Parts: sequence; C-alpha cells; structure tokens
Amino acid sequence: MSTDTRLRTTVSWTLIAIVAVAALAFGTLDEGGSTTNADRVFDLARSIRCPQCSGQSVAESDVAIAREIRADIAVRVDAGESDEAIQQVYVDRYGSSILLTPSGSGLEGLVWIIPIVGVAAAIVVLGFAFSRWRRAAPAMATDADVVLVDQARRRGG
Amino acid sequence: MNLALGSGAITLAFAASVLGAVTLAGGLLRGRRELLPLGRVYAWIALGGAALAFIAMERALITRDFSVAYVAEVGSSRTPPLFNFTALWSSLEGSILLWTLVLAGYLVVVATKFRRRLTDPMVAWALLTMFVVAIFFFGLMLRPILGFEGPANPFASFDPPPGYDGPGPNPLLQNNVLVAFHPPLLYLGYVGFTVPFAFAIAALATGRLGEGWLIETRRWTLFAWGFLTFGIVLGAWWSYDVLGWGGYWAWDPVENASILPWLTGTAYLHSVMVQERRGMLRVWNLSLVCATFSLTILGTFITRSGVLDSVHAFSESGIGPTLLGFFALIVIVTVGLIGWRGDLLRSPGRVDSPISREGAFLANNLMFGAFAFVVLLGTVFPLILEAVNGEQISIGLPYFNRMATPIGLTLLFLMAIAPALPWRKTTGEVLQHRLEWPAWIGVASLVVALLSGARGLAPLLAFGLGGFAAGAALRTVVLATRRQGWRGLVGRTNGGMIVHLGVVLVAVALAASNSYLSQAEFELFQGESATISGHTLTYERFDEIDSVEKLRSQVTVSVDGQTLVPSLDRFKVSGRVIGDPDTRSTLVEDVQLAIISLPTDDGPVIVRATVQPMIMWLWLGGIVMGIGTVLSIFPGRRRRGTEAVSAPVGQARPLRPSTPAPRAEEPVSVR
Repeated sequence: MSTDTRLRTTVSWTLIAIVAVAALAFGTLDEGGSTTNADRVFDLARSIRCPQCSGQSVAESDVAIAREIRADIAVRVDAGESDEAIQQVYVDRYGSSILLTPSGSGLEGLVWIIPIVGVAAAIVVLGFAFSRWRRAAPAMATDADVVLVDQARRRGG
Repeated sequence: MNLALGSGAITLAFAASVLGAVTLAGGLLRGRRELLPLGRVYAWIALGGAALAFIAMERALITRDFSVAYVAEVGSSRTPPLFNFTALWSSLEGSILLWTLVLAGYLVVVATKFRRRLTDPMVAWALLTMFVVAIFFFGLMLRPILGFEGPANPFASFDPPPGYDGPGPNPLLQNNVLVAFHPPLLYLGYVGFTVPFAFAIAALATGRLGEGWLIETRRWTLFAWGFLTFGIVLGAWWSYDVLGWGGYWAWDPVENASILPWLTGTAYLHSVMVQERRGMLRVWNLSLVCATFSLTILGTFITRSGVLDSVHAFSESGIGPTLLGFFALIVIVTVGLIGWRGDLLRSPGRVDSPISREGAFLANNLMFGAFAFVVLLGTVFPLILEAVNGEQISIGLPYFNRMATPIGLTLLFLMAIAPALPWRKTTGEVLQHRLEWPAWIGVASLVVALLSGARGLAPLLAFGLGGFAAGAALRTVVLATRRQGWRGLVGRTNGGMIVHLGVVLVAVALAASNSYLSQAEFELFQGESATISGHTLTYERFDEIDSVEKLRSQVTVSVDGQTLVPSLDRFKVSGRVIGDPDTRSTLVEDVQLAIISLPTDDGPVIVRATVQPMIMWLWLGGIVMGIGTVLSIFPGRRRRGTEAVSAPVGQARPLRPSTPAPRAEEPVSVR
C-alpha cells in the first residue's frame, strides 16, 4: 500500500468512527424518542401474564380479564404510577407468577445469571485454548500419519 | 374399511422398519454384505405403508367416516374441503402420521441417492439409524397387538351414534390457509435433521470420523435447515395474521421448541466449515448434529405432552413419557458413542489467531450456543424451579427479548466482519481495506435511521450493524460475480451471503417493529373517525355473513381512504370466537386492525389499531433466506478438501478427476 492510500484509509476509518459514535450518542441521549404513556402501557401489558389464558400476556389476549387489566394499567400509567408500583399491584393480587419477567433475586435470579456466567466461562476456556495453541508447536505429521497416507495412496492407486 | 386399511398399513410399515433394522444390523455385525441392499426394499415398503395410512386417513376425513375415532374428533361435515384435508395434522395422532410419512420419504430418498453404495458400512449404518427412528415413530401409532397399543394410534375405532357429526378441527386451525403449508414445511425441516444425525451415528459406528460424512450430508442439512427456516417464518406470518396485536413471535414454549433445533442447526452449518477446512472441532460438530436431532424430539415432547402451558398445544395425551424416553435414549447413545470414539476424535489442528475466519466461527458458535441455552433455560426453568421448591413463576417475552438482544447484536457484528476475515490470521491493513465500504454502508444506514426518527441504543445498533453486515455480504457476492459471472451467486459461500442478506432484513425488521410500535384502542360509532400515527380510521359499516361452519361478523373501516375489513368468526360447534384482523402493508409500515368488541344495534365498535414499521421486511427476509438456501445447495465451484499437509510438488499424486481420492485422514472401515 502506498502512503497515499494508507492515509486515505486512515482518514476514512476515522470518519466512520466519529460519525458512528456521534450518531449512536445522539440517538441514545436525545429525548425525542422517549417513551410515551401508550408505549409504557404496551410494555407493561406484555410483562403481565393473562390470568385466564395459557401462556399469553395481557397484551396478546382479548379475553375479558386481559382487557380489564389493560384498561387498568392505562389508568394507572396516566395517574403517574411507576412501572414497579403497577406490577406490584398485580403481584399482590395474583402472586409473583403473574409477572412474565422473573425477578433478579433468589433462586429465580439464576435464570438471569446462569447464561451470563456460562458465556463468561466459555470465553475464559477459549482464551486458555488460544494461549495454549499459540505456545504449541505447529502440528507435524507423525510416523503413523505418514503410514496411513501411504496406505491410502496405494489403495487409491 | 378405512380403519382396517389404515391400521394394516401402519403395521406393515412398522414391520418393514423392524425387518429393515434387523437385516441391516445382521448384515453389518455378521459381516454379511449381501444383506445390506435389502435396506432399500424395506425403505420402500415403509414408505408404501405410511402413504397408504395417510391416504386411508384422508379418505376417512373426506367421506366423514366417523367410525375412525380421529375423524370423530377432528372431522365435521361442516368443515370446508381445504381445512378438512388439513385436519389430518390438526391433532396428535395425525401429526405423527404426517411425521412418519415424511420420515419414510427421507428414508427412501437416502436409500435411492446412495443406491450404489448400499453395501458401504457408512450408508448401511445410516439407514439402520433411520430405521430405528422409524420403528419408534411407527410404533407410536400401532394398533393393539398382544396387549400393546401405541400411545398415538390414529386408527382407533369409534361407534358413532346415529346422526353423529364431529366438531371439526380446532377453530384456530380452520381460519387461515397457512395451516396447509406451515406444519408440512416445518416437518420437512424437523424430520430432515434425521439424515445428518443418521450419518453422524454411522460415522461414529464405523469409526470413519474424518470429513467424509460431513460432505455426504452437507446438502441434506441445508435442505432441512431451509425448510425449517421457511416453516418458522410462515409460522410467524400466521400468528401475525391471526393475533391482531402486531405480534408475530411470543416466545411461547412451542415456538421456542421450533427455534431450538434451528439455532443448533445454524451453529452447525457454520462450524462444519472449520472442520472441512482445518479438520478441527470434530466432537463439537458431532454434538451439534446430535443435539439438533434430539431437540426436534424434545420439541415434539414439549408440543405434545402438555407439560408447558401454550396456546399452540393443540393436543394433549399420554405420549409424553414415551417421547421423553426416546429423547433420553438418543442423548445416552450419542454421548456414549462419542465417548467410545474419543481417541479417534482428537484433532491435531489449532487456531492460530482469534482474529481469523475460524476464530469468527468459534465466536458464532459461542453465540448460537448461548442463544439456544437461553431459550431452553427460559422454557424449562419454571418447571425446574417448581420441582425444586414448589415456587411458581412465569418466564415470557420480556426475559427472552432482553437476553436475545445482545446475542443478536453480536451475531450481526460477526456477520459483518467474518466474510472479510481470511483463514488462519490476518493483519489490520487487510481488514481496514476489506471492511471500509461495508462500514460506510453501516454508518449510512445508521444515519438514515436516525434521520427518520429512530432513537434508542439497541435498535440503532441493529440498523448500523445490519447495514454493515449487508455491506459485507454484498461485497463478497459482488467480488464473486465479477470473477465468475453467474456462478458467483451459487455455491455455499455465495449462497450463504444471500442468506445473510435475508437475515439482515429480518433483524432490521425485528428491531424496528419491536421498538417503534404504536397501538391504541378506539371506540367508534358509525361514521366516526380517529387518528393514530398520522393515519385516519373511519368506521363505515358492519355486516354479518352466515355460513355452514361459522358466523362471520365484519367491520368495514377505511384507513386513509383504503378499506380494511377486520372480522370475528364465531364457530358454531365449539362456540369459539377467532379474530381475523386485516392489515394494510407497505414496505415502510403496516397498519393492522383487529376487532375487540362488536357493535350492538347502533352502538360503537371497539377496534384496536397497531402501526408497526417494516413488518414486510420480515417476510421479504424469509424469502431471501429461502432463495439463498437454494443457491447454496446448487453446486458451486468445485473445490476438493484441502489436505492437512500438502505434498511437495514433484511427489503429488496424479489428478484423477473421475474418482475422488480417499482421504488421507480417513481409514476405511475398521469395523
């Protein structure tokens, strides 16, 4: 690569980084996209199980109780109650299994922790493997391999 | 008549599978090779039996022969012809029947494809494995013999009282034409994974654990994967069409059961390339193939046993323990075989650098493995917790979405850089050069998304990385077509890049439709209007249409001057009401209307309107993935496997293009 193209590539990548970081920062921090009350109602409805259906949330179901709960959530959101407070109302009424989001504490918390620990452990194992591979000498054909190849060639003609 | 024909046909197919398995086992273990070609004959008999049983059941459904208990359960004189035909797979016994038909079909195709190699122990072991699977599934449907009855006998008899008429299939299964496509395609995918599994078992049994079996099954795996993908996308489309709240994927246990083998299968399609190229990851690949197959069985268990609450569990029965037992058997056998062959499976290769093609494939497998694990854990965790301390919890969409988002974004990032990474190792300069334009495309799509109002870190990352990944895939395809003309579009690598483009479309659609949904319920009197996200809805008319099987109540609403007709269908026999929402789709956004409550007299109707961007990209993405899969199955530029150690120029064996040379690392049959 000539110095010219190298310079051009460097400039190009610098621009990519600047634009990407700026766009992501603006898009994350800008309030224009903040959640409206209707969004909150929908998200809450998706997090609460419909007490009379099999495995559906109240957002998905149209049975009477699901519609009632949706309406109730809307009223509470408009009244300015927090998400946690609204969820707590239903936990008090139906027990904690009404929430489709498992809590982060106790045995239940394991469902969040196990995958993260698992991935972290896998990364550590892979890291060890790479460092071992780096130290190991490149694989050479052993005598047994040579014999095998020889046999196979003869059989292949 | 239908009863006798059906159960006779199933008994025949079962007997053929048993004889096939016994003959092949005898031929293999006793070394009597002349027995092995008989496998093909038994495969045909099994297919004949399955087809006959299928025909008998369709005949019973069409003639409304209620002396067949299954027809009495899902048939009705009021069901329209199409849904009467598809009623065959609307409940447990018929689904198993369809499953065995597909399985016997695969058995015959494998036996025919390898007809010149039926005495090859590898092929014979593979057929034997498939026969054993067939024994299990035909056995599920056996009529009572010697005190044993299969738990899913489709031809049990029933004594209908005079004038009896059945209820027809579940209303959800007679309201949408996709019932004719989604289950059969899904089964072609599900059952198709039996073939690579059978060859994996054959490789373990014969000890020919080199790359031969991978190459034999490459297309079979792609074929099964393609159908599974297409089946899942159709399933999403179906739920979108029926649910009426903008949802297409709810992380329901049954949906999870279908995505699990897809995830491990996808991981396998990638990691197999590392083994073909570098001879590594042998145990891992075997495990992935076996996991994929066993997850299809586990999925059937979840779907059919009723252990988990699901809207999809259309049938419950005592089949659960049998399926769970079979699942356990598969796991024990494969783990045992892999342990037994452990010494042959050790591979000499190494990965030189994590920043390389094989490094990217490892990361891909880590992510897909984690994804599958999260889905499995989230699905069964409530059961485990209840068993441990009796606590009842629910795990649903919020959990899965939160866990899947970082995994999905990482996968998009890998899709962007992996096609540009060379094997073994690379330099920063190479990457900077190859990824420059893809990165600009990513930045451009990020900026476009931002300008059209998208906000929030996760969706913006999805748009940016999606553009980046699409750029990388396009770059590969463009370079290949420039070099090879139209051939640059076919073959695994190039077809795979088209699949990647489809995945990007799906990923972007998922991010957009999940993040920027707006929804509202409106109470409208006739002639009244409402607005949502810049669209004006006007309630115009209400009609009722009476037909034999249902009463259809439809509301005519104009959306920006265009007419939509959401409806509710009340099925007469069951009294169940099934919604039939109506949708206006464009490339930019969908407006979906569903009826929440019907008007009484001159009262108001309550409709729910959902506006979601880019839904159509989901279906387009599915189609592009399908096209890409077909292109990958097409033979690309022939490339023989590379040897681990190349011979010096002068001593290389002469090329003989007609017969493939035996591979050095693969001692032929040690049985």
